[in-house]
Amino acid sequence: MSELRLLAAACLALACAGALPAQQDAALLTRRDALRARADSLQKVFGALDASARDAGLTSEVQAGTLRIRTTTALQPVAIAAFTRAVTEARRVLGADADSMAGHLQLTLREHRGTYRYKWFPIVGSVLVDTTEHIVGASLEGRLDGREVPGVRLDYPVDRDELAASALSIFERAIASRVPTPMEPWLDHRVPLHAAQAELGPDMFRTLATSEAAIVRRCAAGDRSACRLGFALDSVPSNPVLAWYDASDLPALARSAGDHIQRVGMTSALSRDEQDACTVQQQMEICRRMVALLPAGAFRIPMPGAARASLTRLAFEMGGARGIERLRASADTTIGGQLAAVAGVPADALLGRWMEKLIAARPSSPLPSATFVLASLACIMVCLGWAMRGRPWN
Amino acid sequence: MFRAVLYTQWKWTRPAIMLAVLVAGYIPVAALRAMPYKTESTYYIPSLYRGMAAASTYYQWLALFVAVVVAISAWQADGHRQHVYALSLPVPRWRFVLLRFGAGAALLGVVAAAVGLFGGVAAAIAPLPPILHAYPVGLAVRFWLGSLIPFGLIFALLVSSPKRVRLVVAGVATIVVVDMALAAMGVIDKPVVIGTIFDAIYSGRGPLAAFLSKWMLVDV
Repeated sequence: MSELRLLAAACLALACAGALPAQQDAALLTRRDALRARADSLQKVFGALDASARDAGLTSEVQAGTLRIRTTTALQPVAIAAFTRAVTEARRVLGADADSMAGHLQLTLREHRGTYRYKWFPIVGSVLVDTTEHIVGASLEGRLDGREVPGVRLDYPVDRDELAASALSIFERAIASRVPTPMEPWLDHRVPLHAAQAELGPDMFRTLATSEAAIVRRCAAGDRSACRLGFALDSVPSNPVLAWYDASDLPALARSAGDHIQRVGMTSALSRDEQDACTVQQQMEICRRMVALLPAGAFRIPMPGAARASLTRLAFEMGGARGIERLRASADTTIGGQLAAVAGVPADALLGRWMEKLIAARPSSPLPSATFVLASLACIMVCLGWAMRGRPWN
Repeated sequence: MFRAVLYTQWKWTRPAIMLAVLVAGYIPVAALRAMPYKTESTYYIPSLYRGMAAASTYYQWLALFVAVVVAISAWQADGHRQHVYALSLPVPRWRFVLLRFGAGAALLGVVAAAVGLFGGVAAAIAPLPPILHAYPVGLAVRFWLGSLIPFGLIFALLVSSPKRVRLVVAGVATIVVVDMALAAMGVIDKPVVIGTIFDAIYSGRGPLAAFLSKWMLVDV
């Protein structure tokens, strides 16, 4: 009997020995979960405190036109001036729509504090050194109907022009988020409100006339159907290489089309020598093979972003008020259809007007500009006057 | 009098001018011959344009080189002889300086004319695509005006009173040193004078504005 008891005790001991680690594991897991819950709650508290700390010093909301702003007392005057200017600039493109869109946007201009600053040393240059807490920069954040819009960091002291341009950039992205497909990605996710970025000037003509896509060069030469195809107004062609490029474009296309991931298939299928046979020796057969190995997504719309922006701006200018509303109402059509809706005229008429402006922007005189001549002559005259008064023997 | 001054300066600068004329002839030929993806009938426009933009830099270097050589040559001999010859001439000083400047400008004009001529001939022979055009006259005018600026600056510096030059150099050096000292002491974030001078010189309306634009023989 005693042996039986001994055996039972041994079995119990063995069972407990097995259960002990399990109990220890369970205790560890419980402790871990408790710590995690605590960390999560601390994270929440930190987030709330951080947000409060970041908002410390911000005044209550003020209006610049229909735009709502929160900023510090010190930055308020420059913010109001800059944002009023940004809305005025937006109004030039969107008309009264700019005000209604601005009504949905809330901008926050914050000061950022830090305990460092750049100190300049001879030879070494600028070096980061510790100092007392002071304002090191600013940031502009935007929210459209409560949804965050990517912000912008700014230097301190804040420059009014830079702030106005930054506000306009946020405004561009905010409005673009309301633009339906396929127009929104076609516009590179921003409605062109900056006049300088969509200017139809000599540089634009030069860029298009020397583009690496034959279709764009033909457009600059005055071929309207080429412009239509280059802008992809009707649809993206099923064979973009055939539609957009000439044989002479293939070496450059094989060299630069697509990103690193898109080019993996091509670079692994062909040796370095074979690739050089296309890009250096221009063997078109190899180039065609190389280009065929690239996925369709590697070939983007060949018309540069600035050209697309200029066409869109022109559409808004021609169409006048409520362009954004018409654009939103024209969802599920082609790019051409959407632009026509904005402009209030057929896409062909809009394109014709754009081409007229482009051809008019062609650099007309091969002679140097008046600024060049005047700056040069002024400098030469000053030097000559200085030389005539010289006494080198003194 | 002008012919005599011109002839003297021509003798002093002849090797440099001849070399510059040869280089002026070589640049367009090299730029138009070295085009990748050129077929027998025409050029590949993006490559041709990039090549011409590169050639624009060579033209600017050539203009700078010839301007420096012509300006230094204009006063080198006078400097060696303490300006005795120039002072013994029966013409006012200002007129003599004007003649020297005019002769230098004319010699630079010779190189500019060579740039225009060789550029024009090379572009006439090359099978340019219809959307691109050659602008040899525009290039020659740019070259001439562009080379006159460094020529004028060096010419004026060499003919100035040494006292005045020393004064200007010392003044600028003092301002730069004070500026750097203030930055090192933390009064200002970084030196501002050098940057401001640089911006003023290279701004769109500064004296070196000519060198900021491209000097294109072939353009849209």
